[in-house]
Amino acid sequence: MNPLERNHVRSMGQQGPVLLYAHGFGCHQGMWSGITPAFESSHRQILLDYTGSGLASESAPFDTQRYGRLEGYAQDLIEVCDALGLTQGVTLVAHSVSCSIGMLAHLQRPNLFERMILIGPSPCFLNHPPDYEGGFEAADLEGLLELMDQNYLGWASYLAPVVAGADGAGTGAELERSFCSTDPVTARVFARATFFADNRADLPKVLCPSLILQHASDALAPQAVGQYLHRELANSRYEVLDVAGHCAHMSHPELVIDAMRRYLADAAGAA
Amino acid sequence: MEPLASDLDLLPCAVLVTDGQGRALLSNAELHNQFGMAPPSGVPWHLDDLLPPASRIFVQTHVWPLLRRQGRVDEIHLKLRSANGEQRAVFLNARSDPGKAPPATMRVHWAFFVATERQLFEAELVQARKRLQNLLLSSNAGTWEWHVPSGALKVNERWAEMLGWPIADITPPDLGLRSGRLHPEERERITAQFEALQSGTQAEYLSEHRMQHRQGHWVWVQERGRVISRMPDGAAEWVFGTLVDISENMAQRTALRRSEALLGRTNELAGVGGWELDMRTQTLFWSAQTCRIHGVPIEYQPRLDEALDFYPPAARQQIEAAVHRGMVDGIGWDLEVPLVRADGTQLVVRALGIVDSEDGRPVRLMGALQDITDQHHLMQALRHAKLAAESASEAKSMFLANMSHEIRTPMNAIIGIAHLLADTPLNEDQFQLLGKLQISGRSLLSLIDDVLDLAKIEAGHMTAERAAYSPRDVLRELDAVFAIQAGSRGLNWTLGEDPQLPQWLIGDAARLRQVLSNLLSNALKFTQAGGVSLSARVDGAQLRFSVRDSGIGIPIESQSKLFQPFVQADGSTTRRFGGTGLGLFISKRLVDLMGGSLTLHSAAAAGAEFIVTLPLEPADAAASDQVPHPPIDDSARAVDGKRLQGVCVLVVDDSEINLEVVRRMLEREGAEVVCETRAALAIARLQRGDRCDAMLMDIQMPEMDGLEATRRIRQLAGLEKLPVLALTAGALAEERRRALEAGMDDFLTKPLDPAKLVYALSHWVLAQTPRLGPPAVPAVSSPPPADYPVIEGIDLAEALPRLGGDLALFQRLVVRLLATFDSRWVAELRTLDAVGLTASLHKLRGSAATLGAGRIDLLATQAEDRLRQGGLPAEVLPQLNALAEALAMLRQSAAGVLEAPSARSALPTQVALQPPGDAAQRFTGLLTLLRQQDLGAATELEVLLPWLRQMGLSDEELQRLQHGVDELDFEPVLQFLSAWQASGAAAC
Repeated sequence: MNPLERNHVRSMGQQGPVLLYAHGFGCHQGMWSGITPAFESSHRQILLDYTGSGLASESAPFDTQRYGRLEGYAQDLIEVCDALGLTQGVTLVAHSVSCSIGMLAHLQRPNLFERMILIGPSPCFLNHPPDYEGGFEAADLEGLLELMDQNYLGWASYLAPVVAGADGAGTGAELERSFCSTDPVTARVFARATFFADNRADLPKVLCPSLILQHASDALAPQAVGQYLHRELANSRYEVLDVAGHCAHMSHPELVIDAMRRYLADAAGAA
Repeated sequence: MEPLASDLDLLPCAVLVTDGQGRALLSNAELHNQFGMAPPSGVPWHLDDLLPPASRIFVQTHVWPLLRRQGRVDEIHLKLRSANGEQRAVFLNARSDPGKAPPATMRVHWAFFVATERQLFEAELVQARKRLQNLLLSSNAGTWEWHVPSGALKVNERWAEMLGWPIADITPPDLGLRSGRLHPEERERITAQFEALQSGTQAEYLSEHRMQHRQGHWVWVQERGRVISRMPDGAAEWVFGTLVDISENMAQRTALRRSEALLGRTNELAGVGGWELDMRTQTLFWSAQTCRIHGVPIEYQPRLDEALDFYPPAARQQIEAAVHRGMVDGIGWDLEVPLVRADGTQLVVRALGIVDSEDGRPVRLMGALQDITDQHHLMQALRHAKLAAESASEAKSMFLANMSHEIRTPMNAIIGIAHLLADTPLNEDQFQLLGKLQISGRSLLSLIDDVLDLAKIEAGHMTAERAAYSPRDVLRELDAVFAIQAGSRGLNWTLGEDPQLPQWLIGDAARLRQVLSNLLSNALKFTQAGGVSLSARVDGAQLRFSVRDSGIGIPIESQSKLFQPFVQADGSTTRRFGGTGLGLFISKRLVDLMGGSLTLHSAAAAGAEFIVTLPLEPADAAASDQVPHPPIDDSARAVDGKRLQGVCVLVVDDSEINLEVVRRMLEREGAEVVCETRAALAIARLQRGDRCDAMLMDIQMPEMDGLEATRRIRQLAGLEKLPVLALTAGALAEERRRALEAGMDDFLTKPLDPAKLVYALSHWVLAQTPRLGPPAVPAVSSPPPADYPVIEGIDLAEALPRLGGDLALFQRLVVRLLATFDSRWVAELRTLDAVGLTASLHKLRGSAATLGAGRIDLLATQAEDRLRQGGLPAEVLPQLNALAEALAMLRQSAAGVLEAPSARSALPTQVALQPPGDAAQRFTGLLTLLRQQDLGAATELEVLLPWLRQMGLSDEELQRLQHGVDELDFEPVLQFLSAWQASGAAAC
């Protein structure tokens, strides 16, 4: 299947440098609706859903082998870029697990990304004493999966009307803004891939510059993790956003836009 | 905002109000009690503080998004953590302000209900049920739940669907619904089983039966049930079960049963039993038929050693070895062995075994067993019959060979003796009778040949030879014979020969000649007017001979019978035309043997054409070298007319008559003949060193046969090159080959043809001893003096020594010859009958030979021999013509050389008489000279003339004697004088 179809790729704008938006766990490209208007005229913006997420969950068969590992999702990014003929000069805007996914894609295609903007990144959620605290024990993560299972049935019943728009959540624009969860099965797979991934060893290999946007109080990606990343990633800039939570781009989009603008301008200036 | 603290605190659930980012704003007493969280007015705390890590992530990733989107979540399972670290399962219901309020001002209301055990259990139950349903769905089984006391039967969708009902239509479901759908044949049984369940005597139930589909057809199902709970009295309360559609399964089973039944029946029909030995379990399985073969009940399943007991010891060993080889090496077997049934009867069985291997190792042996007792006996009988037939055939061929020999031997004697008789002095009556005897003899021989050929064909012993031969020669021979025959009957004769005919072909020339002769004889026989033709041509890959005649033809109805033995076109033919009726049959078989075909085109009164087609097999040039050139030409050089002068021949033949015949033939040609009836004696002679220039050896003799004798002779020193010629009655290529292998040099068939015999001997002797090249001449042969006349057609150098160098005598004799055998004599020749012609030619021959007129001698001899063999004057016409020519030539060439013949001087009367004793002696000498055909007799007679007159011979007699001697016609002279002597007139 054509990646552009499979991953519900949307391309906005004709000119300017390319911004590629990669969503996080349990989300879809709609989550970027607060950000993209700001760069409409200045940049060409590419949005996608990972296979099994968002609208892409309906169209393509879900290969649990491939998508049980983050490399599978990195491959989606590469395939989409290939299909678009993008080989270099792309700025990746990634949230949460997409930060790790993006890094894996970069390692495969070193020339593809010019720079990365990472919102709420974490290379590993598990604690690895004595040196690394991802924030969670294995039991915690298993507990999460159990919760997901327990709520599965209820989840399924929640989803149907929502996706179909039966609750009157609206059309087009509203849906874009709304936050559809994924199909519980693929979510389970994505969850396992996300929360048990450990990409710390890849960090030193990342060569392109990056901007780390750290939530001031983030249960999933605490400040210690952000600082760790900043240490390990060469050419990285570290900025703390005064946001409690994990989705600044949704809860405080203007903060994210501002940080992005400054970074992009500096980069352009430096170039 | 005024918190409704007191009302909130009374709520039975833990309540929390946060802002859009999860910061706690308000909480109730229950929250505090359950989870130890202080009211937020004190130290500010966050929702996350309540959440253990897993829940934290879950809330972050699942709950907040939903809240943001739809403003509520309900019944979310969650785990909360109390201040002391304890985790509690809760149900979460939350509400938030929908809309786009910024997170800081947004308010979210969280209500946590601590999950009771029952609630948890129910939640689990729901989950389990869902799982179960999914399992059932995937198994495609229908399910039923039977409440026994009330009879209620609950079924699932699949159950209903299986029987063609939408679930909604089955209301209310009860047992009657099911019972009604059972097949009448099975209803009783199934009902009984269900009752057993019901009463509690059975705990489980399994049945395969038919149930009726809504559309009326029957569906095969497998129904299972199990008692789940019981009433206090032990009766079943709840029975749960499944229903599975086994239609496909049943179809397969039916097909399998059918094929098994077919297999069983056909094996029974064929008497083939099967068996199988599982090597892992060492169990042996016998099919019903195998049991029957062994004579044991059908259920009998033996151990391996018991199975082997059915075989007698030797067979048992074989089978054991085969089984062992199968187990170890994986090699199968196919044996025919005896078997002893349980009741003691003996069988012969065919035992087959094959090996099933897995991963290269034998795991199973299986095979078949078949009672072949009847076939076995039949085969034995057949084998015996075959042997008997073969030995009968052998006996037959031996008989043939013997008969051939036995018959030909006396035939040989008859013909040979007749031939010899012809050379003795005979009066005209005797000569005529002898001629008839010879004709009869030849007819008899021909008939015997036909009968023996027929017998050979019947016995299947006739074979066609394959050797190089010249087809043109065959045609020429036939032409020579049949042209004359046709001419003598006043019929036209044509020979057509294809120029494309190869020079040499591979085939059987003798048989070909035999066939064509037969056809040509028939053609002549049955043609009164018109003509006969023989043509040969190449037709593609075939050789095609056509014998055509304008005779009486053969009606179409008779044509198919013609090629059968003893049949002619119509019965009267035999009486009119003679013949045995065997010729065509034999011809056809011979042609078949040569790989060809013989066909007939004819109609009554329309003549006939017989066509012989043979495969065309050209021989290469090399093969032609091996062609034995049959002696058809008597061009042996003669001394005094004797072609074997001084040759010593040893003849071995068990028949004394044959020996006598051969002796006479050879001695006539001046040979010295030694005869032996037993080969051993002949070999003894050779070992003794007796002189021998050539041997004639009969092959078929008792004690030691000719082949063995020859082999022994070849081993004797110095005799490797001795010419040994075989005399035999048979002429098969096989015999020829054996003769040559034994060391013989040539092959002569009986009855002996004197010409061939002499030719062969002289040829071989010549080849061996060059000193016998030009015949030894008594006197020194020196070239004639230069003044001797040269007369063409006369070999003076050869003749003169014979005449004692007397040129005058020679001249006189030439003159006399030319005078006697003048043109009038030649003209007369053509009018003579066979007898007269023979006599005339004989006279000429003698004179010509003496004078060295070789060609004349040759021609006269040829013609004379032909006539003596029973030929007709017409047959020797060519020779007569040639003779006329030769004599004319001689006359011409001699004319210029010789003086005119002088008159014969008068008989001297003044010769002094010798004393009587002398005369008598001289007279005896004269007889000897006459006998030896010595020309000195002429002189001697002249000397004795007065004495003879004195002794009482008349002038006329003396004149006649003189004349005879002058004519070189010694025999009558000799006869007369011998008779005269015997009569005592010469007594002195």
